[in-house]
Amino acid sequence: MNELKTTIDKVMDMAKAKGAEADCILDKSNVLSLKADEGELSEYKVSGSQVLGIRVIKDGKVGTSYSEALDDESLSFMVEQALENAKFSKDDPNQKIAVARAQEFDGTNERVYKSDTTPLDKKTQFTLDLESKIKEKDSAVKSAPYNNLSEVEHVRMYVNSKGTVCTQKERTFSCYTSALIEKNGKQSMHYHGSVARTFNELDFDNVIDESYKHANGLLEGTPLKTGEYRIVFTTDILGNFIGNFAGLFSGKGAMNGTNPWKDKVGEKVAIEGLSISDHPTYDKAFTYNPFDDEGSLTKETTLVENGVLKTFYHNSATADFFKVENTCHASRGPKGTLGVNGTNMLINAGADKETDLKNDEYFEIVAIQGLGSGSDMVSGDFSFGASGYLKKGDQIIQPVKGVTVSGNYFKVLNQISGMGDTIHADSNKTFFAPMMVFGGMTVGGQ
Amino acid sequence: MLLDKTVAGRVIDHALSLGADFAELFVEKNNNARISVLSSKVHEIAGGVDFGIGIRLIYGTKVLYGYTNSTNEEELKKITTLIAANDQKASEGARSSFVDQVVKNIHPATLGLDSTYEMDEKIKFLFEIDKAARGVSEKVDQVNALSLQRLQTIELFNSEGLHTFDDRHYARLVAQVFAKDGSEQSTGYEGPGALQGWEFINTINAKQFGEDVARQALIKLTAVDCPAGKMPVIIDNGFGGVIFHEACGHLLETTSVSKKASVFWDKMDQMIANECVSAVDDGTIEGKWGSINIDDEGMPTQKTQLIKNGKLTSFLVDKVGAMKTGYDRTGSGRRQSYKFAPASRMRNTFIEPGDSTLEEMIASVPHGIYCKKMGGGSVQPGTGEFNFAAQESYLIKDGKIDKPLKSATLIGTGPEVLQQISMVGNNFELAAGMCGSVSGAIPTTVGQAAIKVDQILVGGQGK
Repeated sequence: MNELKTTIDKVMDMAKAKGAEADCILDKSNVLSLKADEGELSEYKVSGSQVLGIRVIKDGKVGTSYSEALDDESLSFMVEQALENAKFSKDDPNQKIAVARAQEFDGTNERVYKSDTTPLDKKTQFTLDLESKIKEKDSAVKSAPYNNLSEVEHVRMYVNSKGTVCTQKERTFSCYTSALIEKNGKQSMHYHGSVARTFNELDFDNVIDESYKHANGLLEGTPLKTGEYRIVFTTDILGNFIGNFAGLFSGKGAMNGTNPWKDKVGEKVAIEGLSISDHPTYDKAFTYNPFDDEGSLTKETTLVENGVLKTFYHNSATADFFKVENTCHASRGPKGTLGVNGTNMLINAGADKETDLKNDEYFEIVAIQGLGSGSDMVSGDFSFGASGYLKKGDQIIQPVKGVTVSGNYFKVLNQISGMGDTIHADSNKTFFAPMMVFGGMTVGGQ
Repeated sequence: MLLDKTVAGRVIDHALSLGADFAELFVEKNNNARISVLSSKVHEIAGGVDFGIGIRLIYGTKVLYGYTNSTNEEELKKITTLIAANDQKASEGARSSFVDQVVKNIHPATLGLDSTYEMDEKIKFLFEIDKAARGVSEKVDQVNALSLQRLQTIELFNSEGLHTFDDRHYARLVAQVFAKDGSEQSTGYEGPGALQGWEFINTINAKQFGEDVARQALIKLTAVDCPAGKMPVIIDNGFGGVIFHEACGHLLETTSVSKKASVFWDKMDQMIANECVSAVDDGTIEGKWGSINIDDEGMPTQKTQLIKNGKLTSFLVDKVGAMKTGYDRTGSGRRQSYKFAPASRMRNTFIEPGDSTLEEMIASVPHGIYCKKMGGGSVQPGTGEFNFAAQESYLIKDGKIDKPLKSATLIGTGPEVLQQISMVGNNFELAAGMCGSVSGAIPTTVGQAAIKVDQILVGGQGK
């Protein structure tokens, strides 16, 4: 860590010598990635890499650059390039080196970084099992074509010319597998994954069971008749769906005039029962972001309260532009420019018993395809492929696949007809929400 | 030269001493530059340099991969030892001496990032787009014009004696226009690209380009809900080719075929499409976005006939895919960067033109959709289920183009849709895109003349 700090200090000195303020972000990662195919490892990937990015502010203009090589010549070129880029940029009165804090902040703790002594052969066997245990479930399982175990040790360091230094070291294990089932000329495939801070916390059994359960459950799936249905997403898919429109909370998008909610702060955007907040250090969450990418210490932010948009994700520049409080959601990778991003999203519980919400027939969506390409954040229109189950209570009436689901996000936020009283976490433990029943979506099928 | 040849030789010798059947070093330097104009001002200018070395070892057909940012011999050997740890065996052969393979540059660039073309000229071009788009209508609310340029230099060494290097110049121009009319908002988007320098962007008429993207946004402001259900769809040329890319192209990559995770894995020489369909993956087309001189395993690129008159004639085959399936390599080993092992991937992939006119196709549809511009999509190779988005589309009513429609998704399976293509047009065009898969995101071109799909599921909100 000291060596990295010395490298960044050298870069800071170069920038200061040119009369610029600056901040640097350094990412350093070690990755192990394993995949299995036909009973043996098909991928064994080990890597170590680093990248350093600089943002300079000189004469009110901002320039950025980065380098993956950390020798003196490359670093000097990087600083020169950032300064050169700044010369051609517009005046930017909002971007500043915002945080001055004398004491170094270290966000590393037991929650995000634990030492790992798991022997390699155990990880290898785990990966092989991601394939073999799926096959053992059912002779109709043709293969587990996509599977992976990965371990990432990551260090992020933020340093600015006002003396602020933040560091955090994390270790992440993740795995996923897929079940490809073929029976009577029909095929079905489903994925599931797990993330954890230690190897032993990976939920192997659940990954296997969920992958098989839905691949098998959807094998006989058929399209629904075209029409409107009560829609319920699993928590994972609900997280994807809401997250796909998370740009609506972007203060940068609002500042740039590209966020369609740019003029909506203080206005009703959803049903009264809906509140959405962002919790960077939520104790039940996987993500733990005690500082943002300008070095600000993070805090909880209410985005939507009782259906009213309260604020956007802000960094110091967007907060300055709108003359509002900085929510400390600055986001910048070493290769990028200053933006904003959310962390752990929490949707409040409602008052409905889940059993009551399930009394009427509903389409539970467990997998979606093409959500990103089929969504237009500006118009709010979306259309994506989906599969799942038509249910009543917990009984499956019909497995469903080969349908599309279409609607307008702005409208469906106002057509939530029920919200459960229990909060569930998604598989990544970054999205927390109750069961929600949506109206206003058209299912295209037969 | 990015890596000392002697160092490369010693690292490969070390890999072979650990029993590897094949060893390869992929050395890469990437210069990037991005200029963005937003709100009629220079918004962001950014760039940087990526540099790293990927080490691939093959034991049998098993791939071991590692990478580092360092050119230090000891670091490279350390990673080699680490990745070979579980598979080490007695050495079975010595490295062939390096023979320099000079790459024939069939995609020359004149105004690449290594040229002295002025930044001011580039900025001026982007401002012209901004001005043109805003001039179309007062309903144009925001314009973002940006240019992306990249100079990727690669150097390859392998244990079979290959030593080669290549420069790839990429240029891409992107415009996004936001339009607003009361509470209705919409966007228009275009993003042409080429394996060329800024000279490619200079071939584009900035004024026309800005106006076209603005008109796309304005048309969508008046769009009505797209009907839902199965119906005939005419997919126009250019980016419409994403249907073939998703519905079929990915399923022909040996990455999926070798695992039998493709519905086409056992269909070689069989009819998999309507006989009016012939399809090609071609890396040789001069200056096209998905073109290359050599693939990322050092093999000269080629034109590969995938489907001829409906019959499957070739897969896309990389080195490991060839070892696993027995098919000959097609120069299709590609990767995003040194951080990825190569895999079989597409280049410029398209359905060859037929002889129908767009007008004939539209006239043949009593009730359906005409998709003028397509957006992105994805496929699940194991089942062939694909989806893609219609970015600009129109209702066809009684054989004539009617109202513009809001965005819709088209879904289906590859084998089904290939049989449903009943007409192929004569207005062939290619379009640039990015394709994400196991070896990362790479530039690929999709393309086709307009096609008629007799029946496909359209997801919309209308009746």
